[in-house]
Formats: sequence, structure tokens, C-alpha cells
Amino acid sequence: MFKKFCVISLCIILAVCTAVGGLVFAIDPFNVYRADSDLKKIIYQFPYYQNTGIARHGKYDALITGTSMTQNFRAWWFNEKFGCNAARLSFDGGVLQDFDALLNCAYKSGNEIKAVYFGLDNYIITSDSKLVDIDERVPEYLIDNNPFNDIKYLLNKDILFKYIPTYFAYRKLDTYDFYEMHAWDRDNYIFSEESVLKGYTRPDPAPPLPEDEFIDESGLVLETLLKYVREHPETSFTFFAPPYSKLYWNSLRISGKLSATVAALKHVYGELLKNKNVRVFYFQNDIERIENLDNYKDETHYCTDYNKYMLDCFVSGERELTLSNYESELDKMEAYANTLNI
Amino acid sequence: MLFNSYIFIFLFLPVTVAGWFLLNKTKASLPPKIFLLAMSLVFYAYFNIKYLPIIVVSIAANYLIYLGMKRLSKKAPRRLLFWLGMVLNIGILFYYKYLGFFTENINALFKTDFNVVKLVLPLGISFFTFQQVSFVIDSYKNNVPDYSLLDYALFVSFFPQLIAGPIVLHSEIIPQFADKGNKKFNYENFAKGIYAFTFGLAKKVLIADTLGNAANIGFGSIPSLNSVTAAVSMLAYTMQIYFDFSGYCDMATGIGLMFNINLPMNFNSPYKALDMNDFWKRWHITLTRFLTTNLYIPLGGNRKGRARTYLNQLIVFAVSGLWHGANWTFIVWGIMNGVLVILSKILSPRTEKLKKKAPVLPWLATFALTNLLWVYFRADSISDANHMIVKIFSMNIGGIDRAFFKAITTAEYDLVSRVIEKILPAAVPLFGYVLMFAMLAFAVFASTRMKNTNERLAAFKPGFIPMAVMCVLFVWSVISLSGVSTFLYFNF
Repeated sequence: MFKKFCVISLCIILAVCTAVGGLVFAIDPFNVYRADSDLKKIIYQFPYYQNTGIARHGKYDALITGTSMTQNFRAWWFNEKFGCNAARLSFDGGVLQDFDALLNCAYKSGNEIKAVYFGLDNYIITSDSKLVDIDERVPEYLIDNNPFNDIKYLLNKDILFKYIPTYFAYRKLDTYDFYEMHAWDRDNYIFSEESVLKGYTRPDPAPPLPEDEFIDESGLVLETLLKYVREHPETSFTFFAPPYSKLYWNSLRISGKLSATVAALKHVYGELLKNKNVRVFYFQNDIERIENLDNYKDETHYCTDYNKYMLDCFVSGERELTLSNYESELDKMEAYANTLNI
Repeated sequence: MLFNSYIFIFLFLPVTVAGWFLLNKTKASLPPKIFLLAMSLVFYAYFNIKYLPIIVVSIAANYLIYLGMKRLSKKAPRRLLFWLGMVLNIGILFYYKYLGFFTENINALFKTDFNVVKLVLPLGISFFTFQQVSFVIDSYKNNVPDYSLLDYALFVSFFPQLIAGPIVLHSEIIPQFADKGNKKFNYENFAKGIYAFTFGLAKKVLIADTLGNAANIGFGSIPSLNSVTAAVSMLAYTMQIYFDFSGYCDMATGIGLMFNINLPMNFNSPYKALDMNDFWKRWHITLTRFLTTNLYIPLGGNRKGRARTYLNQLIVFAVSGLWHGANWTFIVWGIMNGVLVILSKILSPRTEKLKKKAPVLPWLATFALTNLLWVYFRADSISDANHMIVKIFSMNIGGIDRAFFKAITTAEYDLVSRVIEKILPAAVPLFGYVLMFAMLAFAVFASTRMKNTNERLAAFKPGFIPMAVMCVLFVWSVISLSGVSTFLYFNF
């Protein structure tokens, strides 16, 4: 009796686990094993878990990435302007390791990547990404080549009960549009000075940090980015600094981080600009726009019109930094921020 | 390695069980034991290889002390070795677990500025220290037969009980490894083993972790809680800690059975207790046994008058509190438990009738007190715990915080609410609340009314229903493993 109980139970358990794993493998909602060659047909549910899979298996020749600051870019704008086949794969609140994983997967995909548009937020440059909890990064099992840890994906309740039903629900939708997915401007946020000021908290004043405070952090960013820049001269890298509102700069000044941040930006931009396949655009000193809080939904997030303007700049070269002007432009930014007292 | 991990369930456990019984077929006694010891150390080192030397050195040193005491016949050198063993074991525990806390308190008390050392606590150190302390005490009392180093090392490091108990005695484990009858694969024990393991896994993964998310929300935002959310947070934690710790012990029991090793019962439905004394006979039984044998009785037990008996009990509970963690919250929790146990003993003659006539009343009082005491165990500081208690009794009646309810909305919730949305869309917002209360109600019911895993094992008969229940719970738990939290008791 006991032998029968053991054998039958183990067989049932193994059979059901295999069936569940097989189902997840077959549907593959996070594109761990495959992706439709037509980007538009990919069901894009959860960028954090899906971006690396799309980067690895999708077909594209241009990549737009960055944090939430880049989520309102529509890849088709780039397709129209530059005649490319772009994929916008942003990580909301992403850290350096996420972008490293994404670029790594992209370059292993076999795609010929002509252009990378990278929204390089200040916090990416000044944060110690090594301190980021492992649970807050792209999971290892999605990006490594170890088939054994795929079990975390194949036997996963969330995938089975949540993302597979959602996958089918999206597939049924006539209005589903890959390019519109995870653009937060569709979420009815209010862009107004009143709402921005309502949500703004002035930080506690602190003495200025030493200028080299973020030297290690910015060094690691450079090490990571230059690896791809140098190994892929065929790719044109466009890094751009998103325009935060004046409130961001006000906070930076009060909290004593202004000079150290500007120094770190100079360090990174200066080194990046030494490479022929790199362009850097600086939108942060667009004073007229960053002073108008009606352009914002909070301290940092700007409206979609600005994304369109950025794209125009990528074509026209407006707001582009060069080795000869980047230091003076950043000095101007620092001088402006030092006049703020909100 | 966690019991509730894919690598343990699908690789480590099957390989170790198979290896143990295959090697036992060779009839040689050393290879299977060496294999099991090596696998237990791999299990331990998998968390952090840096921990490995600590346990290896600790095992070797204690065994040497045992050998020394075995060979020496004179009292004085034996006593010296005994104290060396005590200082070594308690010293290592103190260094890793309490040095930072001790220094902080010295600094606060004497306005000094000693460097506060924050060390990473080696896993299970509290458990294997107590296990070895009890071994050294038994060695000193000449209560230990001849053991080889391998037997001793296997007793301390046997992986099912290594990192979170139960706190086993050498006399209940080593003879089982020596028993030839236990070296053959036993389908009955294996069936009971996977049955107990599955129940433990489900308790940990499906109930404790889910309710733990809710408790974290409550205890993480005490100032903003109304009375209802504060009380529900408290209850969620009460359930979390029981299902977490007893779930772990059920898994340990189950794994032990797969090796034909019976581990002692650690939980006997503690929330069914009718007074606090009864509660402590049911909660973490092997810790109570250790403290009774090695602290309460040496202090004089109940042999030196009533006042001294109560004092001895208070000391035991204060030590028990401190054992659970290096924070005043644990000490206060321990002392409060001690006071309530003493009170329940004093009142016992008067409450006996009530327990027989209307047991629900003493049960309710005990359960309520247990809940309140867990607040001190869970809170980050005594002031936080006091604040939580004030919130509970402030009679600020309001709705349950949405974040709290969101914390327990698992993937199952998503799936069912999709179905409800199609049948009765208006019921979807309500469903979340129904689910939350249903989960809490089920947890309370299961812990206070249903049979515990040991009782289930005693009555276990292989049949369709236990098989179906086990298979469903096993698969459901396994697919719930990704992102599951670590065991609460690992840091104690």
C-alpha cells in the first residue's frame, strides 16, 4: 500500500510539474526562449522580466532604452525618422545592471544593431548600483545561460495564474499595440504646476558633498557603457540626459549633492564623448522648459511633447554636447541651480 | 539551501536520499555516514561558504572536549574541560549574535563610544550551539556512550534539523543512525515523510509567506494604522510565525522520516492552549526541554521554595527571549511570557473548572494574550510595540488599509478575480476583502481546530484522499516558490 502510494504520488507530482513547465515553455510569456520576429506581435506585459528576452530573440536594428524617462517614446517615431526597426525596452526605475544585461542580450542576439538611444539618468551615474538588492534587478535566471535555474520561470505561480491569462487576454484585444505598451502618458496623469508643487517635499539642508563623491559610481557606469561602445563601433550610441524640472535641481542643491553630481556628469560625458560612435545630448539646461512646471507630472517626469522635441534634436543636433562645450554647459547648469531657492 | 527551494526539492533531497540508501546497501557503515555528513555540510555551506569553518571548528572542538572528559577520571580537570566547553560554545554564540547588542547597551549606559560590531549571524548557530551545550553537559555527567567523530558530526550537522531545529539530543539521534533496521529504504516512512514535508511546505509557502506580507505592511506603518488594521496585522503575524516555524519543523520531520530518522515533535498545536503554561508545553517544545534540563533544574527548579521557583522561571524565560534575538523586544517578550506562565500556574486551581465547563473562555484569553505578546516579538523596538498596542486599543474604527489587502493578493487572487469579473463584476472589489478574511479565518481555524501534522502522521493511512491532498498541495507550493521569503527563525 505504502509503495503504491509513494510511486503513484511521485508520478502524479512529476507529471503535473512537467505539464505546467511545458505549458509555460510553450507559451513563453516573457520571451525567455523565443519572440515573434515581428515586434508588433509580441505581447509586452512586464518590461522588467521581458526586456532581456525581447532583446535576445526579437528582430530589430535600433534600441531605445532608459528609465521611465524614456517610456513615452514610441518606437515607430524612430522608425519614421531614421528608417530603422526600433525596439523601446525601458526599465522603470532601472539600475546599471539591468541596462548591462539588456545590452549584453541585445549584442548576443545576432541582430545588427545600428543605433542605441540611451536615456542616461543622473541617478544611474551617481548611485552605487552594487548596493541594489538582488530582488530589485532583472532576475538572473532570465539572463544567464543556465538551463537549470529556468525552473524558477517554468514552475512559477505568477506566470501560470497571472501572466499566461493576461497574455491570452491581450492577444484577443483588437486594440493591442506593442508600441503603446508601458508608455505612462496613457495613464491620465495631471501635468500642472499645482499638482507638482503639491507633491514636492523640500529635502533637509545638508553641507555640500566633496566633488569626487561619486567617482566610483560614475567610474563603474563608464566601465559598463564603454565596454559596449568600444566593442561595437558599428553602432551609433546616443546618450541623453533627461530634463528634470527646476525642483529636482533645487533639491539637489539643498541636499548638498549639486557639485558632486555635476562633477560625475562631466566625468561620464567627457569620457563618452572621446568615442567616435557616441553622441551626447543634454536637455537638462533647457531652462525655459524646466522652469515651466506645467510640463511635468512630478519633480522629474516630463510630458510627451518633450520626447518628440528630443527626437527632433537627435536629427538636428540641437542640444548636443561636444568635447569643447560639455564642461561649460554643465557649469551653466550648476550656476543656474545655485540661483534656485524654492 | 532552503527547504522551500527548487534546488533542494528537485536535486539535493532526491540525490541525498538515494545516495544514503544506495551506499547503505554496501553494508559498510562508513561510506553512507560520510556521504550524509558531506551532503549536510554542502547544505549548510550553500547559504554562505564562510559559515562552514565555524560549524566545522565548533564540532571538532566539542568532540575533543568530549574525548578529554571521557579519558579523564579526576573531577577537577573534567570540570575545567566542562567550563571550557561552555565558554567556547556560549562565547562563539555571544560573539556572533550578541556582541553588537551588548556594546550598544554599554555605550548607552556608560556614555562610552566602543565600536559596535555588526556581524553576519551564521545560520542556525543558536540551534547547533544549544545542541552541543547539551552534549557537553551530558558528557560531564558521564551520560554519553562511545561515539566516533563521524557519529557526533552527523548528529550535529544532520541537515533536516541543522538550521532551525528541533533542538535534538544525541541520545535520540545517534542510536537511530546506528540501528541497522533504519538503513533500508522504508516505503511507509517515505510516504509519511513526503506527506509531512508537503504539509510543512504548504504551511510555509502558501500561508506564512502570504500573511507575512500583510504583517509587514502593518508593522511597517504603525503610526498610520487604525485599530482594525493594527489588530488584523497582529493576527496576521501570529499566524505567520506559527505556520512559518511549525511548517519548517514539519518539513524537517518529513525529511527525517525519509531517512528513517524520527525527529522530536516541536509544536503541538500551541494555539489550542488553554493557559500560558499550556502554551509553552506546546510551542517550541525542544527549546523548553533544553532550558528546563540545562537551566531551570540546575538553578534549583521548584526545589527551593515558591519565590525561588518563580524567579527561576523568570530567568528561564528571559534567557529564552534573549536566545530568540539580540534585542530588548525579545527579552521583554520572554519576561512577559514568564510572568504570564507564573500567573497561570498560580491561578490554575481556580481556572480548572472553567477549562472543563467553558473551555472557550480560557482559550480566548490565552489566544488574545499570545497575540499581544507576539507584537513585542515582531516589532523593531519596544516603543514600536507599545505604539502598536495603543493603536489596537485606541478604538479608532476604520476600514482596512488598501496596501495591507494588496499585500496578500497573490496570483490565485488574480486568476479567481478574472473569473468573478466575468460572472459578477460588481463583486470584484469585495472579493479582495473576502479573500483576506477567509485566509485569516482559515489560518485561525487550522491552527486552533484542525489536527497538526504529527497527529496526521499518527493517523496516516495511504489512500486516495491523502494522496490527492498531498499532490495538490505539493504542486501548488512548488509553483509558489519563486520569490518566497526566508524563514523567520533563521536569524534566531
